[in-house]
Amino acid sequence: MNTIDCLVIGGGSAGLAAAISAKENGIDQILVLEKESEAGGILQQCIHNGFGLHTFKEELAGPEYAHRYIVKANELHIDVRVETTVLSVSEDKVVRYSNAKEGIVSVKAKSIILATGCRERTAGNILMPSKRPTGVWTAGTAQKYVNIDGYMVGKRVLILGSGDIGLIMARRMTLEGAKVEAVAEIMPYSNGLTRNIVQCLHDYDIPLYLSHTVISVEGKERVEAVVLAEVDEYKQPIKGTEKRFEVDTLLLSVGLIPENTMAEDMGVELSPITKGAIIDHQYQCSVEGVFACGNALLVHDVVDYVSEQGALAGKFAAKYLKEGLTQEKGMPILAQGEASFVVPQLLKTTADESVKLYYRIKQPMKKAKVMIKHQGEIVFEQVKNHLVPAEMEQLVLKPELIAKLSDECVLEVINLGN
Amino acid sequence: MKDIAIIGSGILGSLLAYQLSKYEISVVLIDKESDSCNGISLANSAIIHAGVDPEENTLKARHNVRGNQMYPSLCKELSARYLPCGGWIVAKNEDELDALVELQARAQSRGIPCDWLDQTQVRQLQPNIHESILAALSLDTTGVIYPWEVSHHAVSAAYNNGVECAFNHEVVSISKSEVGYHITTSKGVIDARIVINMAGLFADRIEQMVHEPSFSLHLRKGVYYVLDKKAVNLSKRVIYPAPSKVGKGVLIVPTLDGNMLIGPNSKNIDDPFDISSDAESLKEVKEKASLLLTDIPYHLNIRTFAGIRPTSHSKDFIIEHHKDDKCWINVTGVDSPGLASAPSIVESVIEEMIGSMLELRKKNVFKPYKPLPTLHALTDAQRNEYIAKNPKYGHVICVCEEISEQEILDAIKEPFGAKTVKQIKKRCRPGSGRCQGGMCEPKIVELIAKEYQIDVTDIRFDKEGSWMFTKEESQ
Repeated sequence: MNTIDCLVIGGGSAGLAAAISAKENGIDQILVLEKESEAGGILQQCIHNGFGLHTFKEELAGPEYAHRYIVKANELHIDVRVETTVLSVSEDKVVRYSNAKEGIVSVKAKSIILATGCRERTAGNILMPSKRPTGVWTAGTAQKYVNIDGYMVGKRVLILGSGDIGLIMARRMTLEGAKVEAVAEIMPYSNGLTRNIVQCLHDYDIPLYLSHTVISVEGKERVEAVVLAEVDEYKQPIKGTEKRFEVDTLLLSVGLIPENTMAEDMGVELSPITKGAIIDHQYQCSVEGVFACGNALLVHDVVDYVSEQGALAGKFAAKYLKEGLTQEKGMPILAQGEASFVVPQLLKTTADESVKLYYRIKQPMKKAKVMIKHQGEIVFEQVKNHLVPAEMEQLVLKPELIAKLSDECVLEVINLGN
Repeated sequence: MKDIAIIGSGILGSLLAYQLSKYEISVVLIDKESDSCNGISLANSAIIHAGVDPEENTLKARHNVRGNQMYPSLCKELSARYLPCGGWIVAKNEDELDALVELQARAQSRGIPCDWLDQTQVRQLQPNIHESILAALSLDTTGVIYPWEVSHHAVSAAYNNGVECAFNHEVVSISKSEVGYHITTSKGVIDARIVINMAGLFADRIEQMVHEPSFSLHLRKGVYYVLDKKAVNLSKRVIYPAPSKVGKGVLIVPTLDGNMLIGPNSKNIDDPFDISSDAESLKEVKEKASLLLTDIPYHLNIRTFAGIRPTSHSKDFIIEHHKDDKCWINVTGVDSPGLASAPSIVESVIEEMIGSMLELRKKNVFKPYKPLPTLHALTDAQRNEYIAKNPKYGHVICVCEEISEQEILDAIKEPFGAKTVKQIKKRCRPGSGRCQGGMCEPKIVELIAKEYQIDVTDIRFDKEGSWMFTKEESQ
């Protein structure tokens, strides 16, 4: 069986950034396995712009952003194998993959970077009542049909879920000539970025029904109508609030789940909140030599941070291979109050440079206090304005602060109200 | 003029076509659907019941017991899979215990192997069993199949042995002449000497096209949850409560590919097209299943579906010549345990009914169903042999179910090949996994278009009305 230093599963924005970073940090033997026919991941179908503002200080379309990383990986002679699917990964890091050229191959990896992205929640996941006619797609699948393959999936459209993909598809379908009748959102606030609500809905007069959900999908063979109803505080439909829309298509933008089927198989411990791996500040999972980054780690809203995490995972994988990383348990960082999670979840004594914490909040807040508590004392605090669950928050722990920590610490967010 | 027209290609019509294709007679299989096994047989619990549930002296009892015995060898003959998982009927109170005792006696009188398990044994073997369960009747001969796999393989073999398959042919009227029946369909006329009415939910309407009604059906709908393969350890066996008046209640069913089925409820309906999974029914199934097992992981649900079963006025199967017309045979009211009973029903229709009207001579040459390779069931060495011969076996299209490009092409290219997305899903499973086709469907669509050299916008998900893409306006 062949051995490889660093095997990256997934050639999207996280995987490419990880591979490039590992190479730049001195690792030669890197293999990136990508199941699609080209690298770049989901960005290839995100033809709208707005990518790369943080990294490149310019607004790129998804494929352009991906292209920069593909070019870089090529320049560095990184082996990216496309149309190559990983079939399984064992606890001792033996990776089985399959493609047309090599057949099924097992390779022993010294380190693995999980950059498998995320997948869309489906009608089944949300137990949507339906007669199950054709014409219901997840927004991302519809996006692939429209943007990559060039087929329109319908003429009159309703979208359930106001996450970013849903909002962007509302605009996209409109520009392609469809009539988007409405976007419905079960929560009392949108789960998309504010700029997308303005640019994708307001600019095209598409109504957004907050606290609404789909209570039936009608139609025998193709969707003929979708019925919405308002929901109460327990998300239960309220009788008498039904609204019927005669549409032929229903797109679902009802959440993303980090893709961790293989991580689970190899015994990587997952967070029940993020559904991604539990990592330390070096992006290492509970299995030694296995790193996670990007949407496989936690669902992001901005790609720049996916690449940023990929680069860190690659850097620490290189460090692991060259000099080893401490395998001590580490100090937990817990999320409290209005913070729903914090990643990384563990800090190790070897943290000698700044560590960026990513967290999300549970509800929109006009003003909030963010604190780091250690042994009951507040060791850091800041006040933030206009926080929404749709936007990932960040907090950088400086080395001098980290030096003060000796065990468990807490990231707590308190709502300061209006 | 055909000797026999079978109306309906569910499990019954498919198996009948298959068995008749072994004889020197001409047969046509008619269905309004685009594919076999698209109605009652598609959406049910997929269980081959052991045969203890039906009451004494019923056709259900006779055919269930015999059908159960026939399945393992029938599946082998058709290269279809059979899961000998066994089943438990469980009791949670005195009434149900009494019912269980009665079922045990019935099993013994019918020669069905069974074991009585007390609460300790039940808890030991199934730690997640609900605390109220007092005992179980364990039936080793309960099994699980994929009805569409059995049905499709049967129809393919029938087709390869000369049965004419008239899919997308909706019967619109039937008239009787001195020599037989004149069946007008949405796609032309078919003449046959004998008609076997196996039209499932529509059998009453079909009969009434030419005869006075001799039976009536009432319809019951049941919804199911399909759980991700990650829930595979929920139960290795079928589990259901001791019977009530409305059937077997909610069942826990392991499937051949590791998913779990949970359902169905039983709701009276009038509309044979009402296959909605409604919120009320989903809630009911959840409540009832929670009395069988604890901690069912509904967050792993990947799909819900609903199936409809027809119950006859007599509550038993109807398998009879029409009273005024021997050449018209009704096989209807086949609700549970219809799937388990199907091979035996078909056997009796041929031997006891058709055999009395036609001379049945076996063909000298019969071509059995030739199975297509399922790569993920093979060892890596075996898979690499396939890939060496055809690299497309190495290119995985459906990641969730690990299906290669060539397996999809095989399903398209085989003699009775798939032409719609759903037909491919039924034949080799892409779209059945946790992403529900979100990732692979665009690739499947391209493959269908390429193989049939048709425009992508002409592809249907399933039936003719189930368009997927808009057409360019042709001005």
